[in-house]
Amino acid sequence: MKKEKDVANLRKEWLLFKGALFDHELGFPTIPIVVNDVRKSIGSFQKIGIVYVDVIESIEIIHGWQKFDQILLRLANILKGLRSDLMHSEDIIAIKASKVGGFIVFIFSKDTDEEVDKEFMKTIMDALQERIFSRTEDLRRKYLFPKTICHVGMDFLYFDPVVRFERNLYSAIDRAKNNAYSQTTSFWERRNQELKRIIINNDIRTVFQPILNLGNGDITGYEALTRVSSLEFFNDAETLFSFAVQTEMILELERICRKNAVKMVKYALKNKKLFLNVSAKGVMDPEFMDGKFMKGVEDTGHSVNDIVLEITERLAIKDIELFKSAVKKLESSGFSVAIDDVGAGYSTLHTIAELRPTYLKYDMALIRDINKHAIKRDLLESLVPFAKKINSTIIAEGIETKGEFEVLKEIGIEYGQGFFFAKPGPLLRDET
Amino acid sequence: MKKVLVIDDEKDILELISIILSDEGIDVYKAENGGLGYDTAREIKPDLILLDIMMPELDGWEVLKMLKIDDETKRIPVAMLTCKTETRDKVFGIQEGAIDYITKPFSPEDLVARVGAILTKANGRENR
Repeated sequence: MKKEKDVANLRKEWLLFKGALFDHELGFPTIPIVVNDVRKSIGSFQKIGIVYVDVIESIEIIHGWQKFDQILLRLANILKGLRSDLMHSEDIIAIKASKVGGFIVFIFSKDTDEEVDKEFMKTIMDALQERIFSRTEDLRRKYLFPKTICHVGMDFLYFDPVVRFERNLYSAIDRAKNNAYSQTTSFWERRNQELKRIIINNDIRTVFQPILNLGNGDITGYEALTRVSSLEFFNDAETLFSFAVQTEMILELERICRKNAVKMVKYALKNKKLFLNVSAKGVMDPEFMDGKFMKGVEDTGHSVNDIVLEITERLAIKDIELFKSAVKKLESSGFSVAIDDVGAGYSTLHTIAELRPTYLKYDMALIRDINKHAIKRDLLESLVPFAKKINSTIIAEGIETKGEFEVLKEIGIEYGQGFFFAKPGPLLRDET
Repeated sequence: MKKVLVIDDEKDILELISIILSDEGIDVYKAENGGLGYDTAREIKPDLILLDIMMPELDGWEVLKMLKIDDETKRIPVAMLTCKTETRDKVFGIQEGAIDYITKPFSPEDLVARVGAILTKANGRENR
């Protein structure tokens, strides 16, 4: 009886010790209480894979510990999901110390009896990186760390009878952490590879959204929009394009988008206009000047007069004169020009006044609830006489409700597009 | 013998509380998740429920709500097991009908003292 009591007491002591070294908030143990489990497993596998996830410290310095804890909690949940999907039951997830963060994943084997190898570790790392990237978008945006909020790295712990196990373990963890800081660039590099692959394989989808005459409901043209087919590295087209701008691949990406759009409308355009998006830099693409693109358009049975180049200013235009002369050349070869996102971003009144484009595409943010905001309505109304003066036609983007549509008609806006009329979709051959 | 029901998804915590309270002559019942905990509460009518907040599927707040709208269980005092020290949780919990908080990790002395106090208070109320 007394012996039983002693055992219970020992057990209590151990559980108390464990409880103090367990991060109850994140739901993971700390290193000291998993050391023995790790030691046991290395005997049978000789080699252990270690993944280290480290949240960027400056987030805490800038935003405070509460926000940092929120990120840790999110990562903890992602890791729990990873464990149930990809890891084996004997694998261990731990944190450096309670309330400190720094997630450490111990991976013992590939398939139940095969030793873990570099390839398998890479699979786990990729899955983890991808999940962290796609499930922290809100946090990255909110906390102003758009690329990543944490670093992920890996290394191996090899069984070594000469070195004390604990020291061997901690130095392997340190190596994995150091590796994490070189991996970020490699994730960037892999996204870069993926972008190149998309461009080479033409791996995008093109959808079309009709642009309507608000007066009589006739379809006057279609805007070609790009969709990403593999969501692994880029959440949406916007991420893809801004990444292409950062990596100086925007010209190539825009080329395949244009090519795809022109190819898809083959014989289906029927005297309607095709609106193609071009960045301010893309305007200077030599394929417009050397006639390659024009030939592509003519090969599909259309004329460049059917094409409207919708210029999106992704960055502030540095040399307006150069830009202006490029746009003028496009117009003289027959293209029409539209300025995209008027009223938002870098589309300034200055560029509009300089270019006097055929179309002004008025930004959807300013259309949203225009029937409820008097100021928004006033703003658009004040643009109408100006547009008339420079001979531009206004196209309202992103019309979603009947109320918005009615106000636009009242103001006298000629053209519009948006979910209220049609979502972007495939272009049907027999569509009229 | 007083009956205490512990609802927590951490098995170590269940075992630890069970050892500590058994030493004090309390009958300890354990449940590893919210649903099981609720069923056990209805079945054995414990004198006190220790309820963990952060659990997968049904969390502590949801279980608390279920216990408080059920005539069979609404008079059973509930103390929340939490790892958060923020007062916001405490205010919320008291509105929802929890009567005390025990923060993880806890010391055995603290746990025994808190549980003892709640049980005596509840006892006094019954006798009145």
